[in-house]
Amino acid sequence: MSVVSYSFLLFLLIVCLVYYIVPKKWQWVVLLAAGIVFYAGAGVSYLAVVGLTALVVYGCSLLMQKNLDQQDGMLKDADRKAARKIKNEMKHKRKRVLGAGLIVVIGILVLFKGSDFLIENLNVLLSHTVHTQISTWKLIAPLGISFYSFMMIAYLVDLYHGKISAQKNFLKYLTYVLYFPHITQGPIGRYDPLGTEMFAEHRFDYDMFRKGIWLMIWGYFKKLVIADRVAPFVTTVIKNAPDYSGPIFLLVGVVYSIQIYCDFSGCMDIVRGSSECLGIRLKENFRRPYFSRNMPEFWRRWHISLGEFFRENVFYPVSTSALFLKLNTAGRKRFGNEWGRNIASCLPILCVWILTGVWHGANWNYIGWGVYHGILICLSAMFEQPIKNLMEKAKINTDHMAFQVFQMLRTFFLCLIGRLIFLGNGLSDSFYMIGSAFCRPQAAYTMKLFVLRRKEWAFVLVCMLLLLAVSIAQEILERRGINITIRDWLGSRNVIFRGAVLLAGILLILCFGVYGAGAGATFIYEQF
Amino acid sequence: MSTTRKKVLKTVASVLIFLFLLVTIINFLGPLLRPEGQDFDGWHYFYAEDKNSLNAVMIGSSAIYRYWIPAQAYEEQGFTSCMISQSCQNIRAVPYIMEEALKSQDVDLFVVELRQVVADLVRNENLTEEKIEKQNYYLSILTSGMKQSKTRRKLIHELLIPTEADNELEWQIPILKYHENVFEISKNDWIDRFATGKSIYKGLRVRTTVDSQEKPTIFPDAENATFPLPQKSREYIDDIVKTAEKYGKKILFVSTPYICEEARFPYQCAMNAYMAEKNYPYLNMEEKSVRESVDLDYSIDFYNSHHVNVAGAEKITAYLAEYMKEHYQFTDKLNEKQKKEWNNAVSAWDEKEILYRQEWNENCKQAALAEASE
Repeated sequence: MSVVSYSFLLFLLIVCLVYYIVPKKWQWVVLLAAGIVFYAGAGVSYLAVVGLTALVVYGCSLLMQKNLDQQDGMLKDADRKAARKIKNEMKHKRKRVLGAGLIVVIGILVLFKGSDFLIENLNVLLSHTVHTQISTWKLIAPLGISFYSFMMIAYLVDLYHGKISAQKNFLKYLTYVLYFPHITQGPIGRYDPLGTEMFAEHRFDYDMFRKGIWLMIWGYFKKLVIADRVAPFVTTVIKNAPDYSGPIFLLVGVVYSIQIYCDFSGCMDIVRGSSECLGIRLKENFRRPYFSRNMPEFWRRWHISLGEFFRENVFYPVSTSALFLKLNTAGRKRFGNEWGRNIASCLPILCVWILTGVWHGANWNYIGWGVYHGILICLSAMFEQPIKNLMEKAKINTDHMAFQVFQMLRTFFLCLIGRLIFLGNGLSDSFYMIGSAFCRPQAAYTMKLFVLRRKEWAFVLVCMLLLLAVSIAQEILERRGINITIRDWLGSRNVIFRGAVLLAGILLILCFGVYGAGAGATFIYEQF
Repeated sequence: MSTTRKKVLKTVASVLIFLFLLVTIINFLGPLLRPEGQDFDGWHYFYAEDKNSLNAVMIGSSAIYRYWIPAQAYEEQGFTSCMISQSCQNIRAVPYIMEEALKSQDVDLFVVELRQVVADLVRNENLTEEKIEKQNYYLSILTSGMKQSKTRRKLIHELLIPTEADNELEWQIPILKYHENVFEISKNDWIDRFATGKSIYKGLRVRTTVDSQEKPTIFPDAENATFPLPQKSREYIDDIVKTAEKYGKKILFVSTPYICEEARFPYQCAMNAYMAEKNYPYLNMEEKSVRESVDLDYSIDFYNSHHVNVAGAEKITAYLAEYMKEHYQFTDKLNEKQKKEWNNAVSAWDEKEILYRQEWNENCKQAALAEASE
């Protein structure tokens, strides 16, 4: 059931009604039932896959909790030295459980998402050596497998570190995993605080419900009116990249950057809005990333939950590992303190980015895109100070708005190149597009090449400007430290103004959205 | 009343007002977003007519709109009429069309063309996916411009064959189905759609092209019937009669002339036989006496085997209008302003007729030349 289907709206309405009617202590059961119905819509067999994975994770979590409880008991009478020993021993035992859990979760993830890629590439190797081939097979991955697997991993890791207590009730744990607003595309919600909020009792809060609806409408606007309107242009050009040449690829990069932002952040707004209708706040996953002034900032504002996941579960463990510490020391000795530290920190950064690429799918384009961003972030870290010094010497006011805009455009441009790597039909196509984007076209462009009609382009441009205006307003509020959102501001207006805005929003989507029979109703991130 | 209670009531009231406004606007926008093309404008022209200003409503498929000239009928017989006719209009839709028409027009007579009974029987023999798609398309021609009402809802519910591409919900809320047309509709069309939409030619849709037809030697008369009309078709016709009775309105069934091909012929005969058996008011224009009076020239009065051209339409209109005037009472429904408007329509038609006749003459010559060269 796609969140841009009529059935989802009806489903949400029914869930909301039942959720607020049943006794508060049973509200979580409604969420569980809703999650099961929602997920079973994609295939009952997939529900079994999620259920079994959740069961394994639940088993591991109980074992780890038992271990933590034992540890607490043992630490009561232990002195400092003994306590450290106990902690180390218990941690070691938990590590084994964690390892087992991770093997199952990651194993299933790889089985569904990467097996065909691994076999294909293994076959390439085999063809050069033993001349035998392994038959390829493609499994259709369960809906949102990348998202819920990461939630499970984060849950296990948090338990391992003793940051949270295990959920003793398997059905409650399943409710957290299957929570329908976040299971298909995230945000990758950490068990704490989401689990706590989910199992709390919720009274109907009109203000929150209303704001949830507004957020959903804003999400539908981004997804249906902007992202899906421009999608045929991007798809057509990418599909037939060799037939195109010249700066049209830059336009594709720009349009795709806007499309993917509207598609993914639109979906996030819809799911966060629908969750708020149930009184449960989900984490913000996007904070106007195209206003970022450098790449690291961009990745703190784009797909925030994934960034946090990798930071905490890959970057920190790798950068604090013995191997890395050795490298760090060696690097400092060889290149001096600053450069040595920078060079050594590139390793975990690259690890994170290759994994981020792979997370999107087992495909060389995604891996290439990950490496590209990894390199950019490494360079950004390495040259941050030298560039700062240069700016100071050149007396360039980096706080000036014009300079900030330049930085934003530069970051956007770098992202755009990344998008072309991400988008290509194979890396060779990507390189062709990037190379050709800065050359003269081989033939004059006609309107037909731009796929959409003039009216559509004009309209979508107006909508993009509206999106930009709202984003600028929110950005200004945030930069000035004013802690209100556009929704809060709208909520403080009079009822007629609010009604008019809401009415205009709904009608805009109904009249100009791409939906209904014949429309794709899929999300870019749904495939990841 | 406590403040909280007042606040809750205020909130509920504002939500209800909002929903009312939203539904009203959605209902208003639905028909405006119908696809482009004359076929889809039928209801628009009908709704544009002043309330209770029509004597007759002509219902049917192209077997009506290619055969009937409202301005000519008014000029010659003095009664007003409007066509609610769309390509391949489903015969099962007629009771709903009558119901919808009566909401704004207290008509004296409904004229229902019956060719679609026969066409549907032939078409529905093997209902393939493609045919279902076509059927639904024809239904969209009929319903896309129709105002949102219980009648429309019932009509769609009864006649739509749901498929993956044809979700009933989208049909019932036309903005969901037709919103993509927002980029198709031209500026002039928008102006026309927002305007009252009165057609100076009163929905005229005749053609001037000529395609010489061979005069049939045998006509689908009732006595040629070899089997009875299928039960379903009988029920459809009976339903129309019952609807007319329910609303106390007179009805006249007609069959306009065309070249009835082999597949349709036995059904046409069976239908004529059924109409005779039930003694329903029925004007079969292919009956010998009518045929002779209308005097169609098969070599120049048709533009294809199923439709007459402007010359044929003038003959049919003249005969049918006279027949209607003779057999039915038409009340004077027009005030001075409306009379002037209809007189303007007559003048417009007279001017158009000259142009049409010139084109038709030219086409006749070309058809004759083509025939001679063959």
